[in-house]
Amino acid sequence: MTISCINNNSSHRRDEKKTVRDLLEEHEKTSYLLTEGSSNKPVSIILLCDSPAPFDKKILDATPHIALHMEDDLLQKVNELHEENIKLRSLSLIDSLTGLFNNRFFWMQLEVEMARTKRTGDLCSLMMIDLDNFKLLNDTFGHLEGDRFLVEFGSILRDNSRSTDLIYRYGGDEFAVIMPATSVPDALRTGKRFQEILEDIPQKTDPAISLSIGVSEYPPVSSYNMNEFVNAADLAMYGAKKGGKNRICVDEKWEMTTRLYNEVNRDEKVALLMEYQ
Amino acid sequence: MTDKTPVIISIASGKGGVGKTCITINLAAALSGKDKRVLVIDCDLGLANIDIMLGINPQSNLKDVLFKDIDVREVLIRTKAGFDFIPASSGSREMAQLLNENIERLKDLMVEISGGYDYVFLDIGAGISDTVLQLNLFASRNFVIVSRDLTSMTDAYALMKMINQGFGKQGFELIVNSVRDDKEGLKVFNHIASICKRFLNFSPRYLGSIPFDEVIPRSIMKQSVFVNLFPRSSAAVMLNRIIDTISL
Repeated sequence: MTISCINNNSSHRRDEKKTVRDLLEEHEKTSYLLTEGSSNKPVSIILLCDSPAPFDKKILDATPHIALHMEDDLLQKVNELHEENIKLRSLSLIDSLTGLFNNRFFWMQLEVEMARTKRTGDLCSLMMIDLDNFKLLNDTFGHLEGDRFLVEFGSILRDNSRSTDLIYRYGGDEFAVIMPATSVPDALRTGKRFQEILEDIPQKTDPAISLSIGVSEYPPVSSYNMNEFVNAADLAMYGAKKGGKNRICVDEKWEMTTRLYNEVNRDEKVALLMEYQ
Repeated sequence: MTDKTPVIISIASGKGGVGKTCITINLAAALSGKDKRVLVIDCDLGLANIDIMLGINPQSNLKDVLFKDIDVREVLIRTKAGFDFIPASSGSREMAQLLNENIERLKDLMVEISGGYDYVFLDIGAGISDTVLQLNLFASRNFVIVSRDLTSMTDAYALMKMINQGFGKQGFELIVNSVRDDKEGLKVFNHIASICKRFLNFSPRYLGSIPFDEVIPRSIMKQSVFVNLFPRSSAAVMLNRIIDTISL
């Protein structure tokens, strides 16, 4: 794409009807035209003018990519584009059914949160949630009813999480919560709350829909990368499913190190910490 | 081929991410370079990654041997660095927490396959589980990799304590990784050793240290071993010194 900026020159009077081509040519001669890339085939051109349009509005309207002839117009156009961009971006980051963030944004944000964790030294927890018996609802009452439930459950997650928690529809009937500055015990409390609230809601199926939840924590026991961090929560979630549904499991690597750490008594910890200084 | 009894060495760290696997494959490569027959078994059963560090894409692994009745010899890979290698599977829940009967089966397999080797290295996963404990007990020598980081020292100490108090084992051999120089390595070792002596009444042995060296990340990027890629680097020199200490 070629961007050309033309600094308007006082020689252009308002009544002078010039074509864009005329203008470009003239400025090229006076070297006011700044082009980037190939000047033969400009894809779009931004004209920056500090006085009213020196050329015919009709020409501009016929060539919409060049249709900026006043500072005000330019500003307005830029604002419109900006808003359009925000809308498009949010559309591609938000799940259209539940209004939660989508899987695409999950991976983008997880990278950010893991980097932040490395910098701040905080812990970050990740929760994977799978709906138990959701297929039964879909099969018995149809997919519309299933969708309605997903929307309702999305609201439950939103209303009962903390303001810093980031909630995603990971896919199908799977949800993910990134919990910055949160340790496993805190994440477990939030998971338990989700389960309890769901239990209080009247449901159509028997057995009712419940939650199998897996939790992992970063920085981890082992040097997890992003995939391994997600995989750890995923495996814990499958563990919860396998263990009989409606339960929360923690990444077993976390459990293994916690167990290791608990082996060291206070005197030993003090010795390890103090005498090395 | 003589049917000599191999030295089975477990390599553990307690905490993950201290460079255990990197040291394991470099020790194996260095010993292979000295005409020793070496086998490395990836026992980090939940988060195996030796295959990735060596740029190998195994078709089958230890899990298939344990659960699908595939012959262990079919899983064996001869690496470019000269040693043999048995991969494990990553991200597998069944593997991370083996049942007792499977641990017994794993030990039988190890005995069966290790004939003819001089050294067998067991790269053991982070944390503590029955599998981790059992494999440490199974090995005749126990190497522990530690860094100067407090969590690493604490976890390494906790690991030695559990194995010592639960099963009376002593004689751990320490390698300190990512140090500025060997002086710092010795300082970290002395610190841990003094606490072992005071609270557990045994002293581990110092095998040596590996300095932080830019050839290490470079060799990892190239999915190879620094002892072969950069034999003159300070990391390779120190690793070879550890090799000399091991056989003393």
